[in-house]
Amino acid sequence: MSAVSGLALAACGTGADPSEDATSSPGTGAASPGPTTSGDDAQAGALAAAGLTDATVALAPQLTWPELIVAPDQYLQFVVTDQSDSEGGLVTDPVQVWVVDADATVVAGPLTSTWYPDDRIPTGGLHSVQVTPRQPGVVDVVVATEDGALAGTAAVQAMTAQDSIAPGPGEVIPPSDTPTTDDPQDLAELCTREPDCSLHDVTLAEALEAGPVVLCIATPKFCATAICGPVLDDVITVADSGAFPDVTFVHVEPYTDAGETVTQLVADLQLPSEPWTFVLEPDGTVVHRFPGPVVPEVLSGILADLPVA
Amino acid sequence: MNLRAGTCGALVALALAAGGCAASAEPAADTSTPWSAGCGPIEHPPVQVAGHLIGDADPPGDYTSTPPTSGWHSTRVPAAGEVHDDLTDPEIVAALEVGTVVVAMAPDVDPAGVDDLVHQFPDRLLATSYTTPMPTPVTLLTWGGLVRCDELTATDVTTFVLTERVSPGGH
Repeated sequence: MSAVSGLALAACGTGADPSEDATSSPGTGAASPGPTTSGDDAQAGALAAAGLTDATVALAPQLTWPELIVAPDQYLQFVVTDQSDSEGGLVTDPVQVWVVDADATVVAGPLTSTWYPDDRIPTGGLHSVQVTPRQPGVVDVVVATEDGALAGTAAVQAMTAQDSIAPGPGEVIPPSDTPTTDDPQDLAELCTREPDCSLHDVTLAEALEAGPVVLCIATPKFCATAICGPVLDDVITVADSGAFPDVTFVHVEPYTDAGETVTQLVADLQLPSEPWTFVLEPDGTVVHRFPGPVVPEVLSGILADLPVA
Repeated sequence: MNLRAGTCGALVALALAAGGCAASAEPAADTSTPWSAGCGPIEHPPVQVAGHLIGDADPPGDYTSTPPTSGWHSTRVPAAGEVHDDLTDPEIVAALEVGTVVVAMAPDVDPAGVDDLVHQFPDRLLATSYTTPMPTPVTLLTWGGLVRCDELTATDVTTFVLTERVSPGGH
C-alpha cells in the first residue's frame, strides 16, 4: 500500500513534522469524531460480511456524494484516508470494495477500485468503482487494502432517483432555453471560465434535439477551489477529445451574478450544490450524474456505452 | 511570498508580547513540541472531497470533525483578519480552502487579545465564535488538520499559522 500525506500535497508551511507532533506533544489530544458510519455494530457486521474480521479498522473512506442511486452500474467516487498514519495519509493504491446491506448481505464485491491520479486536487486523485445497489436503505461501503490488512466502512444512503436531492438516473431533465453566446439572457457572465469555454453555442433544448448531451453546471469563478475548479476543464477535455461527435456538451453557469442569484436551470432542478454534470439521452433522461468531481476517463467510458441513435 | 520570511516579524512580536523565550531573526527550528501544555497533537480528520453549497443549502452529509477541516463549503468566503460571530461550518471550510487558518472559540472563551492576534495575520487568520460543542474550548483549524486547545494563547496560534497552514486552492 502506498500512502501520501494530504498535507504534503498542498502544504505551504515551514516543514514541521506532524508525526513528531503526534508522539511528543502534550495536551488533551481529544480525538475528532470519526467518519460517518452506520454504527459500530453495523460496521462490525459489514466487515464480517466482507470477510474482514481480522483486518485492522484504520481506513476512512469518504464518498464525493452521500447518496447511492438504486440503479445498475453506479459509479462510486471516493478518497480513503489511512487513520493509522499520523499524517492522515491518503491511500492511492487500488482498494477492495464491497457494498453491504443493513442485513449484512454483500450486495456487491469484492471489487477493485481504480485510482485516478489528479495533482490539481488536494487529495491527489480519486478512487472509482462501479456498483449496483439492491434496494433503498442505509448500506455500508466497505474498503480494504488489497492484502486485507486494513479496512474501514462508510455509511451511504441507497435510494431511488425519485427520492434523491437532485435528478438521478432514469429521471428526465426537460429541455430548456439555457443561455447561449447569441442570447446570454440575464447572466452577468455567460461563462466565468478564463478564457470562456466553447460550450455555449446552443441551448440545452437545441442540444437535446441533436442527440445525447453532457450538461455541466459549474462556475469556475465563484467556486474555483482545487476540488470544484477542475470540473469544467475535465468536461472540456472529453469534449475536445473528438471521440464523441454525436454528443453535445453544454455548460451552464449556476449563478446570474456574483454568486448570489441562481440561474433558472438551477432553480428548476433545485440543486443544493455545484458543480453537477449530467449525461442525458436525447429525451432528457439522465443516464448518469456526477455530483462534484468528474473523472474524464469515467465520463468517456459512459459516453462510449451510450446507444448510437 | 515565502511564508516563513513574510511572517517572521509577526512571530517575533507575538512571541515577545506573550512573554516567550528570546526571539531570534528566524522562527524556532525545533518544532517537535510546538504546542503549549494545553493543546493536543495535530489531528488529520479524513479528507472530504465535496462541492460548493448553493445559497443556504445544508450540507448533504456529515463532516468528519467538529469543527470541520474539509468538505462542503459556502459561496461566501469569510474575510481573514477579522473576528466573526458564529460562522457556519460551510463558511469555515470556505475560509480553510483559500488558505485561511481559523480559530474556533467556544462561547465561554475570553476573546481578549484575539483582535490583535488576527490583525497580525490579516491575510491568513480569522477567529470565530463556535456554538456547536467541541471537545475543547478552542480549536485551531487548517485545511485537513486541527489542534485542540484548552485555552487561547498567542504562541499556539502563531505557531499553528506558521507551521500548519495549508492552502489547497483558491476559491
